[in-house]
Amino acid sequence: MTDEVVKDVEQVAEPANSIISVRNVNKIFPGKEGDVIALSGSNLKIASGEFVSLIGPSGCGKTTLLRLIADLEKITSGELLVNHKSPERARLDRDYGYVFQAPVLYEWRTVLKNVELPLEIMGTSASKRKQTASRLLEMVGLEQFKEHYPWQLSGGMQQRVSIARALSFSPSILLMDEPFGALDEITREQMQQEVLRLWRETQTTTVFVTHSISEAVFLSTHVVMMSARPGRITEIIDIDLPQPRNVETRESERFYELVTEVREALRRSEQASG
Amino acid sequence: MRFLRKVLPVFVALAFIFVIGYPTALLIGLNKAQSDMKDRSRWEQRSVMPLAPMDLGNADQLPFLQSIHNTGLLVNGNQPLSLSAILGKDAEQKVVYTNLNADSNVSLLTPAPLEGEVDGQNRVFHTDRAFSDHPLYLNGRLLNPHFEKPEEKPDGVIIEFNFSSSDGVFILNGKLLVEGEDYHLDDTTLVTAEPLPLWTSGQEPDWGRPLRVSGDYAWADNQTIVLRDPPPVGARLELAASFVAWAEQLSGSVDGSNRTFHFAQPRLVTTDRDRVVYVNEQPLNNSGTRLRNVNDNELQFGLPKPEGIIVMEERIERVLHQTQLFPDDDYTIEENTLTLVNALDKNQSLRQYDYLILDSEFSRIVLAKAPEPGSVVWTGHYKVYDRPGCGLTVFECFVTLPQHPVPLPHWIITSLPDFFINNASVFGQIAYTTFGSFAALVMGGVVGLLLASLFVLIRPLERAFLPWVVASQTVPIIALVPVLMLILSQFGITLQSSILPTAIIGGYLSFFPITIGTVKGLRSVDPLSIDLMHSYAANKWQIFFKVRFYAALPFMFASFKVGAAAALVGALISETETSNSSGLGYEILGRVQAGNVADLWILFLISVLMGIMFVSAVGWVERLLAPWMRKV
Repeated sequence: MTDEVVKDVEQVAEPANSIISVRNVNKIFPGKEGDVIALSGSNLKIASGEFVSLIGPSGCGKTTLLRLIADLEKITSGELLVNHKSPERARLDRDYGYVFQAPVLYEWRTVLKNVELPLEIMGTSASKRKQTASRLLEMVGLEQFKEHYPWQLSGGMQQRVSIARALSFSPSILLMDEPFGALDEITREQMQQEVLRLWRETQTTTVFVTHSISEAVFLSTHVVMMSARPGRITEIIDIDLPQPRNVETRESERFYELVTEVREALRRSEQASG
Repeated sequence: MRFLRKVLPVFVALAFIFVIGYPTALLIGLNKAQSDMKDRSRWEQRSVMPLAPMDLGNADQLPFLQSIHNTGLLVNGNQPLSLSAILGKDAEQKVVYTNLNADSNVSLLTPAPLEGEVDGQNRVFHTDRAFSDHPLYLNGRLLNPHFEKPEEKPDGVIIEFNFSSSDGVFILNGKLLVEGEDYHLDDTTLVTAEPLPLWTSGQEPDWGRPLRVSGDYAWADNQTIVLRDPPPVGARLELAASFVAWAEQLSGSVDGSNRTFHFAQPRLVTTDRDRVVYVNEQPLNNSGTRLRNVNDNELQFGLPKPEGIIVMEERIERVLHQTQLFPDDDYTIEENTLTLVNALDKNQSLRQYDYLILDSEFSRIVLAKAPEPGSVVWTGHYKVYDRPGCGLTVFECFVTLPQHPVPLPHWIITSLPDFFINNASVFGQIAYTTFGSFAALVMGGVVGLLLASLFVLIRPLERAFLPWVVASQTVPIIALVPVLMLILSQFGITLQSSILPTAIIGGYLSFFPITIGTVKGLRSVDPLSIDLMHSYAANKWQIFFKVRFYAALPFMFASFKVGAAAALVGALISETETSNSSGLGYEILGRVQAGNVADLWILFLISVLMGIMFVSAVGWVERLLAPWMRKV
């Protein structure tokens, strides 16, 4: 993996470095009242080890893009490579972990068993997966809740379990779809801090869908701006805030500048599409 | 709050019992009690051995009258005796009679209430009870009931009815006919104003046709007396509601060998069949004992008693014909075995009697065994229909109703101990039905889960077979059961030999909710859960067993609860098949046939409890197997 921060996706196109490559991808959902163009002519390259946020208004196709990468939907046209293979191959190779907006924990499994589930499916031995799951729960600070059932945890804790589960099989990519959308502001900031720490520790390339500008700026190495009708990528902004980021980062002047920059870029893309 | 939650259902159940149970029980029960009171066949009818004849010249005390002298009418022969005139009390508080002698023939009559003015004009009297065969007295004189019926029978057309005389009054269907209004007389022919409705001979007695009161009075219906002449003002009209025939000594020599005795002409005894013969204080068996074949020989019969009059009985068109058989001519007796000379026909049977009333015309009684010298041979009769058997008030009748259609809830509870003492086998039957229901639920569960899984895994199967699954439940189970039994019996499988028929019938009812519930459950998975499994590249089976199955569990358990109740219903239905002889269903059917309402209610409650237990048991299993669902 490389620590190189790609300045501009369009300029730097070394295939070896781009772990996710989106080229002229279109996604059309056929419908009764005409087709819905969810994504149109999108291009994006994400290098290994990056933290890329997708931001834009509702209906801009951020989630669709994420689901295309995850092979939960199939592209209509264009080319999409994940880890230099088709998304389906990547999925079958378990190259990514996916975190939904809802924790999607299996309520009949304990916290530990939930985290073990992917390993269970992959056929890892019982002792090994217990060890791995315990380590991950420790990493997200929930080791004492191992034997609890999901309903006994708070929303934030549930989402942390969900993240631990996505990381349990050490995927090279982590896809997160508004994971903190349902959380309150304080929990949310804690979770952001947590995610950054995990990202640093695991070096996992992360694609993060969000509605929040400050969240995108705080977390990301790159912020990808999208606009709706049709959903497309309009602009990519580098976030050059120093690592590791913490509370002070949020209060720095550069943070505010970047937030303003992203906000203006979003407004520009809104006007362009409007 | 927690306490309230626990107590509330019990409270609601109790409220339900009080609000629904008691009023319903009272409404239906009181109505039944009322009709029971009117039903004469349910009236108290006592047969008590009368006192043996005694020498009235010496015995001037009748202790047995002591308790009834205020309620009865004492009759010497046919002459009523005024109680106050003949009965006094001596210093020892014994009832003393004064006017009787050794020839007195005393009866005790309990009077029945009569309604009607004794004003010198009214001749129609009513009683609230049906006493149409009881004697009527006017000022102590026994009146003679008699009427004449015409040859003609009302057929809706004829209006003329011929009588032998035009004396007296005419009655029809409980009413006195009024001359000039209802009829006019043409010599001795009664011409009615309108044709009378069709009268059929099956309609006995003759109240449906016009009758002439030719005696002192006649019954116009069960409860209406019409006198030929109105009783004079102040006359005492008394209807006897009971009668005690004073014991009568039979004439004939008691020398140890004579077996034939005579009685006086019947008096207040309705039929000779009611007459009981006593030797000393011992009543003889007047109904006889049926003889049974022995030694697998149709000519040989066992004899219960060494002495007896052997009678061959035969019913021809519902009429009993009796023929006395004689030793040597018809049979021989050897060591308690009777051998007939001629075999019996199919409809004939043998009875052994202690005595035979040969022909009432000659008033002759033949005893099987000659009484010992010095015995007193006598006959007596005592019969009372003095009040409704259930009680004197509607409520009393209600409380003592032998078979409450809807018992008061607490009656059921208080009769529980007796029920279980008298029906110890019911526990076995409960166990049997429980086992049957369990087998049925297992059967329905296996079929239901299998079908549901197939439907979810292979969609075309659902489209092909789900309509049939639904259609299966429109087949009336009652019609299906006999057919199924027939088919199974071809394979030697019967209700006696196997639990399989019960399991199939209960399973047939229970698999449906389980199939539908499980299909719904398997389909109810959160799509994101499936997406997540896809993201782990899980295969179809992993998704089914690790996600769909668990997500379906709440639906499955809910449907199993419905299925458990259905399995019990199926088991009970299968047990009501006539070929069956075990289980709660069999017990219920037996009580229905016996008309045992009280037991039926208890069995009903047991079934209800079993249903509740089954459903709760599924709940316990649910909590055991799926502890995560406790949050609900």
